[in-house]
Formats: sequence, C-alpha cells, structure tokens
Amino acid sequence: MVIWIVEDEDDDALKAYDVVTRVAGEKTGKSSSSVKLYRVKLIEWPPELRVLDGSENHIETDIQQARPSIVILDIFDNKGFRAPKFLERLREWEHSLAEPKSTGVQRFRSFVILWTIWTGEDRVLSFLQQQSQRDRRISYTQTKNSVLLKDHLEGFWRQCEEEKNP
Amino acid sequence: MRLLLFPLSTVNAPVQKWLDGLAAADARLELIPYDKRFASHAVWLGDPFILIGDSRHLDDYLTTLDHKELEVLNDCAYFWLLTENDGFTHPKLPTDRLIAPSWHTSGQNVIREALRLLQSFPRLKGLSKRMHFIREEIKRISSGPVSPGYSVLILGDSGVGKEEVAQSLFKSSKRSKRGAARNSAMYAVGGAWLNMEPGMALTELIGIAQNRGDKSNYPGLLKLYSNGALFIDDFESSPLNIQETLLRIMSTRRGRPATYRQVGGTKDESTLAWLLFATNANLQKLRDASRLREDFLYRFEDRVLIIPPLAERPADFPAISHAIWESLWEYTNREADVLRSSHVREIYGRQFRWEGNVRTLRALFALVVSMRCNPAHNHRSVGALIEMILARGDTYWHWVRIFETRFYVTGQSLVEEISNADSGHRCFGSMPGVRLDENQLLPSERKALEVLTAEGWSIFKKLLSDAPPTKSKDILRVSVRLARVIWYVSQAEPITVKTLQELTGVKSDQTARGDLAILANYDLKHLTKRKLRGTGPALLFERPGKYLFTIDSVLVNELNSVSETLKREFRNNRTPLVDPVTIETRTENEWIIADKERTYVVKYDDFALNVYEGKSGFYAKEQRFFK
Repeated sequence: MVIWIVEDEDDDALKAYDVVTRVAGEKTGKSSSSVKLYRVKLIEWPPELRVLDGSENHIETDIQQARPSIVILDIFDNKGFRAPKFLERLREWEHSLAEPKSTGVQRFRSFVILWTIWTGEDRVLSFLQQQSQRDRRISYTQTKNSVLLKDHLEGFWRQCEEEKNP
Repeated sequence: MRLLLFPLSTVNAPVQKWLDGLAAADARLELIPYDKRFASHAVWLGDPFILIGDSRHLDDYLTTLDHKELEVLNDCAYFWLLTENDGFTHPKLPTDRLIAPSWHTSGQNVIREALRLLQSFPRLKGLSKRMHFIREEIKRISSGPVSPGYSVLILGDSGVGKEEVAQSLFKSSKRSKRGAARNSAMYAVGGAWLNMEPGMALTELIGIAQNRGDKSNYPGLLKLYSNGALFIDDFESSPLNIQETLLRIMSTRRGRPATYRQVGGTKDESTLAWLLFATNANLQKLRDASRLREDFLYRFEDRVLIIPPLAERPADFPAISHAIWESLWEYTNREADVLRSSHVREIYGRQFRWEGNVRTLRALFALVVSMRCNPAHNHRSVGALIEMILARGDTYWHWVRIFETRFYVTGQSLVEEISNADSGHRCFGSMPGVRLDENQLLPSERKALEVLTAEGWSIFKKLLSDAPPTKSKDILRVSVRLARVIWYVSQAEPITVKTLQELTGVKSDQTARGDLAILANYDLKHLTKRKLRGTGPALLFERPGKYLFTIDSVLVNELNSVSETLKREFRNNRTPLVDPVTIETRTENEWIIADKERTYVVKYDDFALNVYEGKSGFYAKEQRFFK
C-alpha cells in the first residue's frame, strides 16, 4: 500500500501522518512494512516524494516506483488553489501507465481524499462536489479533522483490499 | 455465455487442445482464465466454471475449501474438474453426475450440453441442481402440445421466481416464436385482481358478446391471448366461479381448442390460450377450507414445477446476486461497481432465511447501490455498506431503518447523531440516586450499554447512583450526558470539554468538566470543586484494547501526582520506558519524558495525550498509551 500525503503545512502533514500510521497499524498489525508513505510538500506536478519512514528524508526520484493507492490531497499551498491541476495531472499520469498483463486483477487509479478547511469557499466547494460526483474514487472531508480523515482513509483502504478479490 | 477457467497448475498442450475443442463448437462461449490463487473464489462468482489440474492439485484444492464453499459446490450443476483421469473422485464431491472429464478424452459435449441448457433460459438465474432440473422440466413441458388442456402449475414461496419460470415456459414454447401479434403474447394477471365482483371477473375472462346495436363488446382475456398464454398468479385468490370456468376450459383434450360462450353470446367461441397458474399457498389447506376444487389440481397431471426457497438453493445464491447487482446499476447514471466474491460470500455466510427470497436479496442490493450512488459515500466500500446494513438484523424491515442513521443521512456528524438520538424522549431533570431500568433505557443509554463491557456498565450504574442531582430541569439528566460521552468516545477520539458541551447542550464549562471527572474518577466522595485528584478506573469497552480515558483527567494538575502514573502507563505500553526515567515540565501542558534510550515530548491537552518521537520532533509514534 502506497500512500501520498500532499500537504504543505507541517502540522497538518503530521496530523495526516498520525492518522495513516494508526490506520496502518490497525489494518496490518505491527508489521506495517507493507505500507509506504510519502510526503509531497508542494502541490505541483511532478511531485517531489519524500519517504516518510521516521528515519530520514529520502527523496524518491522515480515516481512510477511509488504509484499511490491512496492520496491525501490538500487543495491549497502557498501558491494558491492548485489541487485541480494536480489531480488532473495525477489522473493523466495514471492513465498513461501501462496496465500489467491480465492476471484477473485490474490495476486501478488511486483513491483521493481531498482534505481541506476551505469548504466555505464557493469555488472550492464546487470543485469538491464536482470531483466526488464525477469520480467515485474521490471523496472530501468537510474539515481537516483527523476523525473524518480516519473514516475516509479506512473506507478507501478497505476498497483497496476488496479490489484484490475477483 | 461466460465459462470461467481456473488452472491449478500450468496449462499443458492436451489441456489447451481440449479447451480449444470446447470453444470451437460454440462461438458465443467466452472462456475467461483466472489466476490459480483465485480458485477458492470460483463458487462465489456466479458463472459456470472449470477447475483444471491433475488429481493431486484437485485433491489439495478440495481439501482447502471450507464448509460454505463446499455447500455451494455440492449444489452446483455447472462446474467441472478437468483432469488427467476421468475416474477422479473425492469424498467431498457429489457422484450424481459426470464432474471430472479427462483432458485425454473428448468429453466436451457434457459441458456443452449443460451450458446450452443454461443459455436457453436467460431469465432463469442460478446454477443449482434444482434450477438445472427445472430448466429440463421447462424444456420438456414447453415442447408438448401447448393448449388449454395442457396447463401448468408453478409452486413456490413468494419471491422465488415463479413468474420468471412462467416466462421461460412461454419463451421456450413454439408460441413465442409466432411473432409479435398480441394474441400470441403472454399476459400475467394476479388472482386477487380477478377477485372483483363475480360477474365482472367472469366478463374479464371470457368477454362480452357484441349484440345488435350494442358496440360495447369486450373479447375477454381468453380470446385476446388465444394463441398466447395467460399467467394467473395467486390463482387461489380468484373466486370459485372463475376456478370453475377455468376448470371447464382446462378439461379440453391436449392440443385442442377449448370452447366457451361469452356473456350474452349466442354462439361458441374457441381459444387455444395456454393457462399457467402459480401460487405460494398451501394447497392442502386451501382444499380443506373448500377454497380450491380438488379436481382442479388433477388437471395439472405431470406439469407441476416446484421451486424451493432461495435458502435451499446454495448454488443459486451467487448467480442471482450478480444478476440482480448488474441489473440495478442499469438504472443509475454512475459507473457500476463490481460485486466481488468476498461480498457474496459475506452475505451468504450470514445464513439468513431470506423470507422474501430473491425479492429480499434484491432489496438489500438496492439499498447498497443507492448508497454507493451518493457521492457522500464514495469512501465507503461495498463490503462496508453490506456489513453496515446486515448488522441491523436479518430482514428487510431491519435493513430499511438504515435510512434513519447518519450513514444514510449524509452530512450528519457523529456529534449530531448522538445529540439527536434522544429527541422525543423524556430525558431532562434530576435523577438523585437513580437506578437505571434496563428495559426502559433511552437511545443513548442503550448505546452505552451496547459499547460497555459488563464491568464498565456496572461502574457506569454506580457512578449514576453517586452523582450529584441535577438542579435545573433544562439540563439533561446525568445518565444521558454520561451515556453520550461514552457513545462518542467509543466511536471517535478522546473527548474535549467543548465537544461534550455540543453533545449535551450543557452551557456551563464547570458542569462539562464535572461530567468528565465523574467518568474519570468514580470515587465521587472526594470530588470537590477544583480539587479533584486520583486516577479513576477507565471504563472498558467491548472493542479490545480501547479505553475510555488514557490517564488522569485534566483536573489532576500537579506534576508529582502525574509522574508515577505516566511511568506506570509507559511500562504497560508496548514500548516500555527503560529506567532511569526523568520527567520534566516543559510548558504548562507539556512534559519531557526521557529514558535511557529515547526522549518523548508529552502534550497533555484535556484528555488526549500525544506522544512524539523526541529526536526528530516530528512524527507521532503513539497517540494513546493504551493499545
């Protein structure tokens, strides 16, 4: 399971990290080595993926090696409302990747949790609603609340697990 | 027609040749290979399948199946084992049909014939032996002299698919091939509908003749569908005079038209309408109650089809589930979800009685599809929704109550759900020395009972008996307030004073803190304003390892009284501190705890304790001490 946390604020990234590690611990037990976490500090494409393993900040240069199952995507960074472009490029990139030969299991596009506190802004709300209406693999939380994030993360995690079955 | 292939080992040349031979005979046959690791899922996919492997692999495979999979497999008439030896048997396999053809011989015709039969009746879903038998019976009956004297009786509980069988009978007969003319179609009518005023019902059936000068004639159903079929469902509900008229019509010789006279008619009319009857009633009881003529039943001779309830047809369950699921998505404008083997297995595993049979299953899937079509549920998996609904009970009447919950009423937060739960109940006012009557609990109290262990519940009741009385009649009684906190904490993170106020409507900060203190310190004899001490026992939840509070309440504010507790808690944790441990105050709400190997910064924010790795100062290692 590969998870990207696309978040410019350290505090929020930490909050998301905390939620992800808790969910990973619950889902995989103590041996959460099957879970790989990356932090993306700027909402731009191609993303700069920093490995979050608690030891050192290693940068993953080949993003194909880190194809995400779940993306926690903040929608603003210090350069503005950049999530729409990022999401568009993410989907284009996923679409362009060659599918592995048929083994009875399809390779799906990632699940995306749009994580923001700016749901009161019309353009943001409209973006969130449109995206979640258009694509069932996208959801959004009303606030940057860790309970909500955990709920969404657990749900998508489970969907990833279920998709392994025929 | 899909046929799933599960090679348990590498497909060799003879196997490939055998499969090519199978596919060559039928262009519509689609062979779909699966990876061998999915072989144990084969029974849940709802399609006919072949397992391919030598005797050793097949033995291993059959040995690993659990009882549910074996139950489905043993009832399935549309699976085969392709192996090197056509004498292959296994104690867990049925022996009533040829199951294991050899890849060295040309036994494809066995499979081909079975699939052809399956393909002939697209409306009949299910791979069970019983459905296989019904298909064969439909084929036999429909190739006979279809006429009023060749009527058919279909028996089965409500929702087993009687009308589908009637449609299949009709489609399979020569009648349906006569074209789209109205009188060669099938018309379905409920017996209860014919239970109108007796004269009217008869007119509906046999029609009214056109007399001179009167243009208001009506040909009647028998004439309208003279070259087609009349399907009369719940026929026992129709009046006896209708049964008598039909009996007369059914008494005609096979293949011959029946004659009758319309109301007000002066000459005989004839009809070749094929009469198909269905009922879910107990025929013996009807006969004993004189609601059914016994000689009526004899007319069906060898043309009675009995469809067992869904629960007695294990191998139909996956196929019917998939068929319903796909049909439901046709009515939505959203990309269809896949019903996975794990979902079918989960539902089947509940061993429900399925009282409404296929209709109940359809209702369940309709609820799931409806929820999945709502973008607010994007993050909930199909499996999670199924579990959520089934957890409510085993009938549709339990499931449909999901509409009342926050899982369905989207946008409702946990706090809102809890705050609204008791609305409409009497829950305000003082309750000194209260003893909870477990038969008359309010919704939030009932929830607390659900989530607490027996020990937790007894502590909860003790807390209530010691709690100070509530003076104001506008404040929720203490049992409700505490129950709401327990409910919240059982499903979310540790609670803050602010959240408690939102949950209970308590405006006073002091009362809210007092409530939390009650739960953290049940020894209330020493509970005085601003001087609360001691570590009250945490209330235990059903969820393993989940505790109501991690440590002393915020009201414990002296570092010395905390340090021992912290040490103890760390020792109980999976990453215990190694002595010597030092604890220092950093800010008002932060301590630095260090042992021989690590340094932690501990934040003490109301009832939540967050521990961060000291070295990097960045990552949360554990949020709770208790795991």
